[in-house]
Amino acid sequence: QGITTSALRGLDNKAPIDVDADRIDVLDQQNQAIFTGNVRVRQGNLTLEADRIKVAYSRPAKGDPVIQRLDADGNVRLATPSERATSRFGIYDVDKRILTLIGNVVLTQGTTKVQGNRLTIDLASGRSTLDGKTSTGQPGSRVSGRFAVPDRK
Amino acid sequence: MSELADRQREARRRAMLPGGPRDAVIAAAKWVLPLASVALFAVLVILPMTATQEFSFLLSKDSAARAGERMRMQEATYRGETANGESFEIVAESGVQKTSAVPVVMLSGLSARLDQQQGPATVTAPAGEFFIEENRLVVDGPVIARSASGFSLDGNAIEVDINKNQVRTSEPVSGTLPMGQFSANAFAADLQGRTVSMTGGVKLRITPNRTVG
Repeated sequence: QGITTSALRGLDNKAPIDVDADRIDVLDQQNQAIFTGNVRVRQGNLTLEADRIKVAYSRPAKGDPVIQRLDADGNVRLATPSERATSRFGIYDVDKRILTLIGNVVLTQGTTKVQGNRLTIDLASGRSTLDGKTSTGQPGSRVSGRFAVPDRK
Repeated sequence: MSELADRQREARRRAMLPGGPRDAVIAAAKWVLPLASVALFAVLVILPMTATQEFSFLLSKDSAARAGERMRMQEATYRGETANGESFEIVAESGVQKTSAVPVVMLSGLSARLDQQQGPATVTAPAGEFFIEENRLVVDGPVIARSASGFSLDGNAIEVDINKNQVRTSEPVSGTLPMGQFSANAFAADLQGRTVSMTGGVKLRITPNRTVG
């Protein structure tokens, strides 16, 4: 069930990622960084907030680390110019440029508010799909939504 | 006997007569000599004690030129071994140890090099204090730790614990990691930069690999 395209369309996944957190632990041997405590990650016009975000990166022989993916858990909040969403988990696959929110997702776009289990936003096309699949991926819980019809003047 | 001999004997006999010159000499000697010995005794014993003019001198502590510090080294090099047997070396442009009581050497232009299994790690800083007994450096100013994944820090009172192989500070600090630039209220990392933890209002700007096409 399509929803308006997200403003994240064409988000440059190589733009710098700004992170604010209470604590950051970088475990270079596991190529991992863990942000804990009201974490806020911003890249371009994407803002992702959560209690904890884990970043996996790979280290080419020389040069900067390549960020592979961010895993957010604990009241995840997504904010973009075109929508807001909350969920229990969030995965931002920087490499494949796909943002996924899982676990009682509530997506608000303008006046429409939609709930579901899994929201995926394809950052290349900006297409976001919300489906009722349970977090294990089988069709299951229903998608419920409330559309407010803008009153015509 | 010859006349000369007679005359000589007569002279000697006259000299021997009581009250003659010889007796006078003896009489005089009888009081002169003891007096002379007493005088000599006085001179030898009493005179030095009453001597007005000080012959001996005492090195007065304040006037002699005292060195300000216990030890001053130019181009100081300190080699040591950490608790677990890794050798380390600290080279400094100058090192001063104030007093021997305080085992702390103030270093300037220092660089510490630690050989570890994962390879050498070097920490450089403009100035710092080396606590000899604890193998610990407390440095101010930009600290650069170069190692496999290295990091650089700018802040003060940054502690480099060579025994525990750690760099840490509990004062606001900013710096760079392979991942990007950061600022935090406290920082702790192992010298190799294998694990880095930053706490307190941490800001990190990750600069994803720009070279990826």
